[in-house]
Amino acid sequence: MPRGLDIKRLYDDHAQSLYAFLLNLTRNEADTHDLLQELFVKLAREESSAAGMQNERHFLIRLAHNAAIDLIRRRATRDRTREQFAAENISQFAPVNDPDEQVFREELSVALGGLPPDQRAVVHLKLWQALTFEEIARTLDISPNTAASRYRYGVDKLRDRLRLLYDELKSAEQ
Amino acid sequence: MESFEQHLRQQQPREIPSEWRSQILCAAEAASVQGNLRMPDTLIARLGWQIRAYLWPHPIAWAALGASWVVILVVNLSLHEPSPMMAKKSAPVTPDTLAELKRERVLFAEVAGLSEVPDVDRAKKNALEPRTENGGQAMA
Repeated sequence: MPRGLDIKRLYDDHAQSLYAFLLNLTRNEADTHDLLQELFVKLAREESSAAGMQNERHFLIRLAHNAAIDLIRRRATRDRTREQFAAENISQFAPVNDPDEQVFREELSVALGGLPPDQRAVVHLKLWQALTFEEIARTLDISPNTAASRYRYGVDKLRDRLRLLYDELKSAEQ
Repeated sequence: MESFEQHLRQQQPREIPSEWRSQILCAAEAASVQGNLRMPDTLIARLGWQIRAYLWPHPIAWAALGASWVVILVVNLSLHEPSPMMAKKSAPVTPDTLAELKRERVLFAEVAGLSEVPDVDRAKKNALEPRTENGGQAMA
């Protein structure tokens, strides 16, 4: 990227995706705010670090992922119960009018909180960022096979946990 | 992609709070302006930039420390006087001084009861001769 990063444009283009990704990883809105702010402050301060980025979205997701993993590790040493507590209370999906769908979203949010952060990151990038396994692998610095297996494990756990709700939703639709 | 995954994909993530935009962009702008932290291109300017970045947190404290060192140096130099030993070492040796030293040496030899004044140059001359010849003379 050329010198003189347009921080406002970067924010407008990518903040929503980064917010959803960070919220999924941290399970905490205040932490998400701090990490997002830290990320954009870093970009504004060290423009040269962003000089070689090929794909803005992937570069920013990588920065966000690294920052979130650091935070999760720090938090794990500080308070091992906090993440579990937050995972039971945070909802990362938009509210919806359909009560059944709302229940499904809340349960999905809780189920995502039960996944290990590595699986959660891959599942999020695959489902809600529509990245391929190759793109996920490059972004998270893992192999495509690892990305695929983490995704498969994660989705299987979600399916096990949400099977009943999902079947009810489907039967109600029919 | 199977229907379950498709259904998951359709779940809309929460919207980022709108007030965050101004907060985060203000913080980013402040960070950018704060130190004008863009690295300059030339070597000297880059060195100055790094020094400024290093001293930036407490410039007054660093300036006070530097000033106090300057004051200490000035006071130290103003009170400094050369010692007598240094003055002697720096003074040139005159022929009169050499003659006086020679007289004192002769007088010392007489007082010590030596028959002749030790000649340092002679020992040096012997030291320069080959050892084999020295050994031959000694044997003879």
